[in-house]
Order: sequence, then structure tokens, then C-alpha cells
Amino acid sequence: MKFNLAALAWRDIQSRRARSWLTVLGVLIGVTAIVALISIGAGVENAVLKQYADIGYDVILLTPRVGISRPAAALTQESAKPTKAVAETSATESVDMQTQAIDATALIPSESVDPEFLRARVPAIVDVGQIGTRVLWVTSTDVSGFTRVSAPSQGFLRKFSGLLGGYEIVQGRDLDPAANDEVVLGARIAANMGVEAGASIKIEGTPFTVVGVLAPYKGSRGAAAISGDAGEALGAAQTEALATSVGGGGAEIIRALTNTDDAVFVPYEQAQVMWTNRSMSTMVAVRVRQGVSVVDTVEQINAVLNAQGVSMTPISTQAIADQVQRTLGMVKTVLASIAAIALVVGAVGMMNTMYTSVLERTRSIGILKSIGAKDRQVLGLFLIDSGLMGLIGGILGLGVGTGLSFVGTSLLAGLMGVTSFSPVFTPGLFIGVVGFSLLLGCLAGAWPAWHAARLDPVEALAAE
Amino acid sequence: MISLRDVHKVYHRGENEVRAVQGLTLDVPDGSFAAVIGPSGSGKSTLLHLIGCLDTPTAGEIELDGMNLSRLSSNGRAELRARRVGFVFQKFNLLPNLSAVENVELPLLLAGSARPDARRRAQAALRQVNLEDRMHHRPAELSGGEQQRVAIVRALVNNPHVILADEPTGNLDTVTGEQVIRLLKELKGQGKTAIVVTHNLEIAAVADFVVYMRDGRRVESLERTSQGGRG
Repeated sequence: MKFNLAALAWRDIQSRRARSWLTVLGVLIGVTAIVALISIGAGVENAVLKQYADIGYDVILLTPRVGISRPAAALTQESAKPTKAVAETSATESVDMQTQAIDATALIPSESVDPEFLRARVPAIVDVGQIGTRVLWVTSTDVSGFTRVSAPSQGFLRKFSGLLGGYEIVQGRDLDPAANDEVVLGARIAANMGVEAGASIKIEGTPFTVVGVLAPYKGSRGAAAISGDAGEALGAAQTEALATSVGGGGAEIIRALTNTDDAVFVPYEQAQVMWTNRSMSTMVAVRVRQGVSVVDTVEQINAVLNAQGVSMTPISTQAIADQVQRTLGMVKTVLASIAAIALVVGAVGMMNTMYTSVLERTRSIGILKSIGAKDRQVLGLFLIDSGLMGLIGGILGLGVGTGLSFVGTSLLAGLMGVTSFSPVFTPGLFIGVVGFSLLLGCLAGAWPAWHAARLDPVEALAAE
Repeated sequence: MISLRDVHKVYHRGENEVRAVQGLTLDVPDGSFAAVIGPSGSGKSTLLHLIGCLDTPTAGEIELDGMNLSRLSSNGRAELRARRVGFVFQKFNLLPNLSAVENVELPLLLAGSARPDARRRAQAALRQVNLEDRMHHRPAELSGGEQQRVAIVRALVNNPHVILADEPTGNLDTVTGEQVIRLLKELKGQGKTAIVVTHNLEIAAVADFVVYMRDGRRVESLERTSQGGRG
């Protein structure tokens, strides 16, 4: 067909410039929302999955099966911070609070498994490590309060340090496993307590020397990440999802692991000796030999634990990642659906514009028909008209949405205190969004176009 | 040859029935110039619409060059309008968003001409009516006479066999009306069949025959030349 409908449609769009742009704006907003939400969502997913990839999908975590009946306040970061206000409380009150904390932690199940025993029973295991955690009363010269004390074994620090987000000594040195009076402090608690390497603090009244201070974790605000750069993208929601997926006491341990800024670290070996009469919530981490099925190994570990009557649950990082991915997938779907509603509203606006345009151009349609335009050419003219507006809205929305994604991730990164977090764009997103906008435009214009094509030429010519 | 045999056209306006054309029989030989006159509502415009395939008769048959128009599909009627018929309207009916030359080239494009060829022919046609300086102006920027000249050029540009004009001087002053009448007179020399609905006696005076209509019926025909119609 030599007749250039697109050129004529473009003329029509230009002839009602203001209304056309407002219509395009409706599509633009919807597309912008979709592009921004999908790309940011994909960015979050990528970052979270990268974190698990960095830890390794060959890692299995064994966590206590029985949940903690925890006093929530004692385990939150804010309440765990030693503050001057706490320090100023009376001695009687301090004793009461200690008793309360000890009672709370005493509920943590003591069941654990000897990692070496486990390695001997399950040949697929190549590395093992464990970490205990407790909330204890910590005192410095000026400040005292409850905080989380983490006790990683040497094996854990050597082979699974990736699980400890931000465990990097920036002041002093690392723990000596043989020493029984050394601690390493997280950056924030060291600052809050006003101590540096070489200073003395007391845990439950027992004196310890601060031998090192950790670097502040970049992702720490509310909840920190598990490991390294990838972990920086992990916000509170992801940490919660991870913790929830592990379940029960494991959830608490994961929270403890991801809170290095507010933690006090002592060697696991010493913690066992020091607190023999008190339970620690312990998590065991194992790494599966390369090429061996992680799922099978989980089953073998389960069998060993059951045979020994140990109340722990093994869960692979792959399973945790799958759970997180499912959760994020649901969140992404909900967000995309909300954005799609905006796009549908835009499409309804376009339909309104097109129908108004048909009414306004009724006479022109009659003229076109009188000089030989076929019904399908009139139909095509209006479909191209609305399709063009959809396409323009889609392309502009793609551009604005892309820009907004970067702004959004930047703002989110600021809120979450992370740096390495960027939106993810795929060719499928670009093509899909533009194609969908074009299709939506055509669909929105379909009924008005059909109406125009069916107009009786004599009646159309009689229109004012 | 244009032949109408007992043609009826009935419109329904709500519960009312309007008999616009009632039992009209008419032959318009090739190359003749016919004027249709009559009071408002006599069915003159409806007659043009029926012959030009803008409308279909309720009953009766219309033939154009031996083709029964009643049997044409919607596409067939559009095809006929594009290639064989040219319309000239009282209100000019130019597309407001297009320039004069774009309006003129539109029938050519609809009939399948390539754009460069269509543009060349449209420009040449506009030059013939002394509108070469106005061809890139939009209708709103043209005078009534200029608009009607553009409309006539548009009707003729595809070299149609039949020209149907509905009161082409109705919206024009005397001077520009005369310009249009001159253009219509020229059609006689080009061998085209023209049917002009008019109140203008000057146009009626140059017609080969005049058809008087009232209440949808032909009440009288006046043959002015040997090519006259029959009643």
C-alpha cells in the first residue's frame, strides 16, 4: 500500500499536540513505573543471589531446631547498644537486668553436634566450623549494657569468614585462640563504649583485653549483610528473609552473624571453657566436597543428627537462596502488578483520547471515505495513531524509567547504607516494555478505530 | 452511462421515516453535464451520494459504466470512489491538517500512486488553477474560492470518469463562484460526465440537461442539447 498511513497519523497527533502529549504522559508514567520497579527488583535479586554465590552454594548451616523464647528487646540492636543511660542505672537494676538476660539465653537449646564427629560420619564434608552467640552484660570504664557476644571457632574464621559480614580487623590484631582474656569489638560498639585496642572491658564481670577493632560494616543500618561486597546490598528485608528461612534459633544466630558492628568477639574455644554452665546458641557450618550432591549431604547429615538425637536442622545456602528468590519474586510480581495498573490507567486515558479524536474527526473520516479511503485504511489510520502514541510513551518511559532506576537505587542505597547496588536491565525488558506499549496503544485505539472505520460516510460528512 | 432504475432511499430518524428518493429513474449519458435543481430536502444530495457510492439505495438499481453499484462491497464502493468518481462539496471538505498539495495528492495515494508521482501530479494540477503559490498552505490559510479550487483539483486529479458536485458555488461570493463555474464548464470539453446539484442558474444554463426534483421525485427534465436525458 503506497498510502502512508503513519505520516497521516503523525499529522493528526501533531494537530492535537497538547492532548497527544498528555496521553503519551499517561503511558510514560506507567512504563516508567514498570521499568524502574522491575530493574530495581532485579538489581536487589542479583545482589542477594550474588551474596549467596559468594558464600558458596556448597555450604550447609546446622542450626538449633527449637526456637528461642526470646525477650525481643534484649536481642534488637538498639537495645543491645550499651548506653550511658544504662550505665547510670543503679547496681540493683543492673543485677535485675543481668538475671533477666541470663534467664532469656538459658532458654536457648544446648543441643549441638561436634563438627569433627560430623565430618567423620559424613565423608562428603570437607570443612567445618561453628559459631556461638550469647547476649551478655558488658562493661567498660564509662558504659555498660547488654550486647551480643559471638564466639567463632578457628575453623569458622578460616573457612567461613564469608558468613561474617565485615569481619576485617582495622585496629590491633585478631584473636589468639589460646588466650582466654581477649576480645575483638565491632566498630560501633567500640565507638559507643569509647574503647580502642589495648583497653580493658568486662563481660559478666570477667576482665578482657580488647586486642582488635573491626572495620565498620558498610551495609550496617538496622541489619547488616552476611558477606563482603555482595552483602552490602542486603537490606533488612533480605536479612529477615534469610533468617526466617533458616527458622527458629537459627534465625537468631543469623541475625547475630550479620551484626558485626555491635558484636563482641571471643574465641569459641575459650567461650566453651568460660561459659560451661550456660548455654550458647550454636550454629555449625559445613562445606560439601566439590561434585557431591548438597541435597544428598543434607540428608546424610540429618540422618546422623537424628541418630545422635541432636536437635539441629541442616539447611543449604542453595535452599536459603531459593527461598529468598521466591520471596523476592513475589515482591517483584506485586510491584510490577501495581505498575501495570498505572499503565492500564494510561491506556484508558489513551482510549478516551482516541475516542474523542474519532468524534472530532468524524467529518475528516467522511472526507477520507469520499475520496476513496477503504474501511481498513481508516481503521489502520487510527490504530497507527494510538499505536504511535503508545510507542512514544513506551520509549520515553523507558528512558525516564532507566534514569529513575539509577536515582532510586542511589536513594535506596543511601537509606540502606550500601554502595554496590545497581539496577539490572535486560534486552528482554527493553523490547518487552516498548513492544507492550505499542500493543497497548493499538488495543486502546482498537475500539475507537473500529468505530471510525464503520462510520457511514454520508453521516460523517454531515457532522459539524 | 449512469442509469438509475426505480431507485428508492429511505432514512430512519428514530421513529420517523424519511423518503429521500422515491422511484427515481434517470439516465445520464457519458460526457454529459447534468444540473439537478430543486428545493431543500428534495433529495438532490442523496441522489449524488447514491451515484457516488457514498450511500446505497434502499431499493432499485444504479449502474455506472455497466456496473451494478448495489452489488458492490464496501471495499468495491471505496475503490470506485477512489478511481472513477470525484466529489466537489459545498463546504469544500478539505482535510484541515494537510496543505493544499497534500489534500490533492491524497486521492492519488489512496488509489495506489507512488508518493513522488502523486506529489508531481498534484503540484501540476494546482498550477493549472493558478494555486502554485498557495499549494503549501493549509485550508484555513486559503480563501473560500481557493479552497474550492483545491477541492475541484482534488476531485479531478485522479482523472475520474464522473464528477459529482454538490452546490459547488453555494459558499462562494459571485466573483469566485464564477471562477468555479468556469472550471466546471471546462469539464464539458474534457469528456467527463458531470452531475451538479445547484441553485445557481448560471450553472444550470450551461448544463446539457436539467433535472428538477421535489420530494424525492423527478418532476421535470429539460433537455438543452442533443445529448439530453430522458424521462
